[in-house]
Amino acid sequence: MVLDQIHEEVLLHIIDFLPQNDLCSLSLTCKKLNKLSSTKLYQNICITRLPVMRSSRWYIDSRFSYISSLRDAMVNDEINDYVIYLKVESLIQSLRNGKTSLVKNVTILDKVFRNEEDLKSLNELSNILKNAENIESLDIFDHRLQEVHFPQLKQIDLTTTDGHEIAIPEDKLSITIHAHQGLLKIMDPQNLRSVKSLTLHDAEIAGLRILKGFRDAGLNQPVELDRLSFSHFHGLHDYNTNLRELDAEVLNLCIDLRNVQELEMTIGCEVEDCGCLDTFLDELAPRFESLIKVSLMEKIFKKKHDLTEHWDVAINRFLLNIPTTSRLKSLIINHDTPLYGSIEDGVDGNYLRRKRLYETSLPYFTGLECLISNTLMSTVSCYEVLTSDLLWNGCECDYCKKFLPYFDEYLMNHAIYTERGARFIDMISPKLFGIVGIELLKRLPLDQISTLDFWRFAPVEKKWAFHGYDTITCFEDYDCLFDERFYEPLIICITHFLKPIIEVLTTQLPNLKTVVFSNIYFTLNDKGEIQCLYDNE
Amino acid sequence: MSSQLIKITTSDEETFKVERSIVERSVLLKHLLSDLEYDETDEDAEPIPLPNVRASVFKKVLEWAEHHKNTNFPDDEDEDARKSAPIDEWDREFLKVVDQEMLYEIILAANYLNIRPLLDAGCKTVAEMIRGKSAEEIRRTFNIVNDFSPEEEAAIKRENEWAEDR
Repeated sequence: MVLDQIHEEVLLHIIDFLPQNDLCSLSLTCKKLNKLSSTKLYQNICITRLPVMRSSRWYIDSRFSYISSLRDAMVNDEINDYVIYLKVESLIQSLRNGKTSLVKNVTILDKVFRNEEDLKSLNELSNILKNAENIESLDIFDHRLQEVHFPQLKQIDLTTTDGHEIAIPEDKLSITIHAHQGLLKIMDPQNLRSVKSLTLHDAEIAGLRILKGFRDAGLNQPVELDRLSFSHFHGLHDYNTNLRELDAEVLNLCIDLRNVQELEMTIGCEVEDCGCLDTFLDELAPRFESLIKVSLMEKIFKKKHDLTEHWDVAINRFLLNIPTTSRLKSLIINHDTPLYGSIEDGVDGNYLRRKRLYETSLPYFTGLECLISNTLMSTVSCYEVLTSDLLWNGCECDYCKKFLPYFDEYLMNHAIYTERGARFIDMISPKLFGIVGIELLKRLPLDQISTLDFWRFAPVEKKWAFHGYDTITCFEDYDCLFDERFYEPLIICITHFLKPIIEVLTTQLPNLKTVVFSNIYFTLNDKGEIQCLYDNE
Repeated sequence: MSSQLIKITTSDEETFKVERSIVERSVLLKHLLSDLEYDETDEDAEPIPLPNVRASVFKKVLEWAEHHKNTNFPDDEDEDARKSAPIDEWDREFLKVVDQEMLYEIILAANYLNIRPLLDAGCKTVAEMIRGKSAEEIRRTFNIVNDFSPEEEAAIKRENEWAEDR
């Protein structure tokens, strides 16, 4: 028996695990395999500026065929624009030659091109996709692209009109609402009955007011959702006038929380003596009977320690109070960290208290398979004791012994401008790792995709050249050689810092398979070994 | 009760006696057992025929199921997470030592018997054998006969140009 004689159903299953370059090779082997490879190659397409990271042992990059710029970091923006443009044109050509019906899911991320002219090609592409008879989803994140309406799709993005109106269409499974600031007028809320996934983006960071809008428009029965995503923040600003505090009743009246399996909440309260965050979470927790995937994101403007610590306590109590604590499979926790670790009133004691809090609560999530914190390094950078450990008292392997001294040298010869002091200060380790935390965040477009869809997208190759941010300068007499080439070694040193933390987690969480900290991916195999997915020596 | 075994006969007429918990790794057999109301305490119960699986292949499938006796494979697993996960190390070793013919037969058996985790592991193993190879290398590895004319080959290359990530 040879490969091409296996029946198609099984071959398609194999092909499902192949990334695009291998599909291209496979399609050149024979006619039958060409036909099957094409089905996969055209099925899911993602257009993104930077190329994705590849790993031969994981299959996360096999989901989409990506169109992106060249892998060579030395190529300039103009050439990359041109390369992406040519690829989009080539795709359009192939679609015109009969491949359109193979396309099912297309994602176009924001800022694909530097030059606005080139957006024309993406407009042309979305126009062709209008006639794709099998298309299931089209996500466009670049708002400069013209809006295309596909009435046949089961998912839809709705934005408030000039009259502040949003009309809920019939028969959709997934609805995303973008509400502008100001008034809000909802029409046909009864059409929400078919919806299984609801995402609320609100310019006022008061997503619950959209739910209130549903009620005001006559929604009289809670909607049965599988997935809910919203953000709501109670702050001192005055642009949120409709619904200020976190209000559990509104949520309860509009959504049947018993069915929600996946929840993404961006929440926070920074009003002194308010307590709405605690009341909100305490009231809701017992109602989530089906939760298996939770993403909690902190929202805060005042980067103060007591607020963040309070937030941590509130969400941990929430997680321990939901009926599914031991059945949770994925947990994502992200903090709204200050730039470069400059948190107010922070002392090491705060770090120790937060550490103890998580150490106490995490062991209760016995079913947890996946733990993610995209902002972990940014949090770490708030504590000089940790970043100093990383740089000077940490891993003693040959690799770290070789490279860590370079970063010490980097600190010794660079200065960074701080707004608070309005002057240049010597580069210090919290600032360095704070910046790295920001750079690592750029591996995933989490400003566009939901953290709940984490597994759909492979991270992109984003390097940092140790300068920039408008503010980093080398000392005058220093002949600086720091550029992109030092970024990978730095990340590898960070993985050595993170591994012991993951080791502790594995002893507490028997089902843990994946840990992602600051978009550095770790996996645990059945022998209990921790492997880093992309950032290896 | 627990010592009672289920009888299963493969295509080449070999009969195996297997514990219920092991048999039920196969969704097909699990449903079959419940439909037939199969009673393993009944000494005279007819063996279940498996017309599509040879004894040598079934033996491997049983070896796999035996190893994963206590593994928890959730049936409601997140599709994206399941697809991205790496192959279990034990499975990798287990599938690496068999020849290509046996690997295909294990995959086909896993597909027929509906054993999702084994099917995934088998398909990922074949995918790993394809990864990083040129078209010619893939043909050689899997004995595929090239039925393209040079013009057709060039046309496909052009058609898929957009997807080359270099």
